Amino acid sequence: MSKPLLEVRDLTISIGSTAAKIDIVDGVSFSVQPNEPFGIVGESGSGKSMIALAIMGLLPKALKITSGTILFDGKEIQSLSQRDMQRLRGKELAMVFQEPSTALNPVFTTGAQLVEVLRRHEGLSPKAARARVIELFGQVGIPSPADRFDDYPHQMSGGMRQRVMIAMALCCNPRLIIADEPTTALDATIQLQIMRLLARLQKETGVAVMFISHDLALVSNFVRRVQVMYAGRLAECGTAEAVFSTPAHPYTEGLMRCAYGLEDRMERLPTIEGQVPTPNRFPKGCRFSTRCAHVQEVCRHVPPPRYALAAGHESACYRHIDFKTE
Amino acid sequence: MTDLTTSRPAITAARTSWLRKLASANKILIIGGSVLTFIVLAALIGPFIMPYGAEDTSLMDRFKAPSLTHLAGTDSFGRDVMTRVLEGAHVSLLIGLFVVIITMVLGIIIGAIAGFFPKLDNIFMRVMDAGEAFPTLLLAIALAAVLGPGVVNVVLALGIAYAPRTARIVRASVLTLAQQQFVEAARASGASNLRIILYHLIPNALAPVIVQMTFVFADAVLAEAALSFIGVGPPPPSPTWGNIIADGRTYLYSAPWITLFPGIAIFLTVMSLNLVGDGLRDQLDPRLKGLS
Amino acid sequence: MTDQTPITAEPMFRIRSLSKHFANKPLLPFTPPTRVVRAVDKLAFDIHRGETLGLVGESGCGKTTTSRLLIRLLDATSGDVTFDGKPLLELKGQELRAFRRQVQIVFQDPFGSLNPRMTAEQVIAEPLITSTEMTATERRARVAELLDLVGLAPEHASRYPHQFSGGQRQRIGIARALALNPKFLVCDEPVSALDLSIQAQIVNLLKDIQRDLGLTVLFVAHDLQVVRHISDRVGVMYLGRMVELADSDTIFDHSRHPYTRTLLSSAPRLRHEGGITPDTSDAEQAEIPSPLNPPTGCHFHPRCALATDRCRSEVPEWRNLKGDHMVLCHHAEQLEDQ
Repeated sequence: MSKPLLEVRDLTISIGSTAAKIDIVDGVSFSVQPNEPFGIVGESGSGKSMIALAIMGLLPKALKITSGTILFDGKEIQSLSQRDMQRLRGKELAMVFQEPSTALNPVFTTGAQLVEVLRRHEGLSPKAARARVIELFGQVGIPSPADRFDDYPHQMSGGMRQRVMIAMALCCNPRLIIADEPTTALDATIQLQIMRLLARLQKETGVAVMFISHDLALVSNFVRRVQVMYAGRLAECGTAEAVFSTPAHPYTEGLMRCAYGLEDRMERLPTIEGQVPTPNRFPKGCRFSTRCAHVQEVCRHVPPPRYALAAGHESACYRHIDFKTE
Repeated sequence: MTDLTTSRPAITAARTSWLRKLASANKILIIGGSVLTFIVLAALIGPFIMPYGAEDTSLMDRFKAPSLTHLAGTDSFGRDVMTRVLEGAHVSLLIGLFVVIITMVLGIIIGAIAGFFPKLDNIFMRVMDAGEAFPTLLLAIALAAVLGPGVVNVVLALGIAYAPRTARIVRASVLTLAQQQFVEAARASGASNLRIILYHLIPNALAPVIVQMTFVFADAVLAEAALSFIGVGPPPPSPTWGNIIADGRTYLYSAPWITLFPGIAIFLTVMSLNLVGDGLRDQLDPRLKGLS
Repeated sequence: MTDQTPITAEPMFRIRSLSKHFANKPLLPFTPPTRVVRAVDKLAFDIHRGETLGLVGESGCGKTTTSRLLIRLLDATSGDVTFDGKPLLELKGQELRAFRRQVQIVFQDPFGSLNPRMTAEQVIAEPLITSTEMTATERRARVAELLDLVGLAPEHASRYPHQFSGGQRQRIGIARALALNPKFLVCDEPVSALDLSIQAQIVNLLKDIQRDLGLTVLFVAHDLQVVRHISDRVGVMYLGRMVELADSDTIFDHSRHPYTRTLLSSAPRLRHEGGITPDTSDAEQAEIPSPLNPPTGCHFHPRCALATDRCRSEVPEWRNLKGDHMVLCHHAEQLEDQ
């Protein structure tokens, strides 16, 4: 593998004072290669969005990176000045949010909002910027882009607004796009359109994309490598093929059973019993131990290490080999 | 908020400021609360431990400067200013309290009805607009002129004058709350309008009202002083802070203590109430709930 | 569920040409409104006793409005609906209150649907207070029974909503809906705000309750997959109209409406082999048209591969293909099983 574009090493994000701190994200490491569609899957409370915010340098002040490093193209993000970080965010790192209606300013036309970004970061003339925006609108599949240039956000549907957000993310030719639940607010038929659009743009422009989603099935269709998270820790990571064909963590396996369940009609849907623990009630050992059907005594006391299985396939479970034979 | 570089820092800046507030909200609340408690205790206990009566005159002791025998000096009738200020605290704080009660009851009833019944909304709120168009003090003076001076009339006048603002706050909360699903749920389970208003809307609309009440309290204390000062408040010789200041204004140069001490009392009361209000506002902010 | 509950001749709900229009306020009094949304447009279907009917569609399709019309939380613009043989839309006063006791609803948003200042017990007891003469002790006993029924512990009674997780809050919502022993339960997207691993728990719970209490359920969702598991029959809606209605397996395996098929194919499926779907063409850019200004004829024609001139001009007839498979499409016969 070539030099990674993004490398996250042993990242821990905590809330609260040092005396009573809770690790919302605990010792997470992964890397994203240039030109790679990478996925992070996790349910609510898994810390996936916090990782995205940490990479963007936008963590809320109550949360702190208490250990670990984030390297983007070899540079440590935490040590960048406010100014350099802003430049990085505008140009090389872009983000697509879940809710396109709140991420666009309602009092400016969508076209004007993109023009402003292009003029600031690329120094284009108003005319050139306008032409580029119309080109971008076409590229993200907005029909009759020249006419939609002057539309205000409220005149567009949710799907169209998300296309505008993607155009905005693309406009400075970034090297990494972080897409945090980009389709969760959209209808099913529109969701597929947007995911396919992102996949096509990823292939065409070679930008690396980090998909963050709660939807295992959706992610499984659009990434090459994937990381599954639970309650702020890594559960399992590896190539999509390895993880989705031979899951090596009971949580991944359980989620997959829930997802299969939806595909075939069954009398009872498979479940994972119990609730996701809230951060102040994280168990001492493995954080999944309170819901795991294969729990052993050791799981409750000592957090499992990461076991390397096949090439790049890792699992944070003591029973990564034998839990399925039970 | 046109792109990511500008929009996200703006949001984080907002987050920073309310987090900072969370850290200091308790401090503000504690400082304001302790000053207020001190004032209330002084008003309750003070008159009993002071050796003088509030209306005891003594021609021998006129215009005595503050000393150990007369902590805040004496006025033109030789009355002990400290005793009068403490006695005045009774009147001023009670006026504030009753104004708050009247404002709250009127404001909540009118606001809840206006917010819940769209058909009555326009009528109610236009009347409120009209009420609010008068400057508060002027309205109070006019009402006092009609009803005559006296503590009860001052309370009524101020209570009515402050009600529209509170009604507006309640109405705004009720309008948003009425859209919440738990209200629809209550309706689906057969709750009457009255029950929805009493159990589901008002309790959830109360937080901003309570904050507002601390400001109304402070305003009422100030307004009472102003009304007394111009002679339409509770009639003398009853010692209210406004009356004491009004008495002392002629001797401002020769005996400044007569006006100074009631002035300090008003200042401390209003300031502590405002601190409590600010502290409460931050404390009750729903956005902060998730963190605790 | 299907085989246990005999479907009697008289359906619980008989719905004919039910419509609900929302109009904006006219600019001048006594003039017609400038914009009218036909949120629900001439629906016709039955809901049988003891069945679970799924109602599926994307945003703006009118599924939520329909559910509110059936329990009279909204008033219909026009239509003819009978409940237990009685005309529903004309019920008033005492009769309406009696009707309301027999129908209940579980809401989508587990955060917004519970009053944040009431404990779980107060929330669940509210319908008992408003609609029964129970004493406080009787209510307490009933709440304990309901908590147990939905899988919550007795000590949960005194906690406030923010102390519960999303799934537990939804259980409280279900307990509240069941408090008065309703005959008919509307579930309005009860699991779409929940995590996948929790969704399944709630679906299973609803299934158990439906079977044990013999409830008739209208299950509203945007997600076909979830609906499949819980529904005996499924209706699909698009822009205010019902476009297809049949038993669950028919909808999933032998759908005869192009929109239902689009919806089915958009649901993401787990890709075990990993990697990226070869089919990443994003040729389809069609949007869901605004309900304010729906397309003429068949609403789906701009997105439909089978569309002809007839579809653009003529609204299809709501017709029975065979064996209670209702469809709203001129070309339903052209869609063969794939």
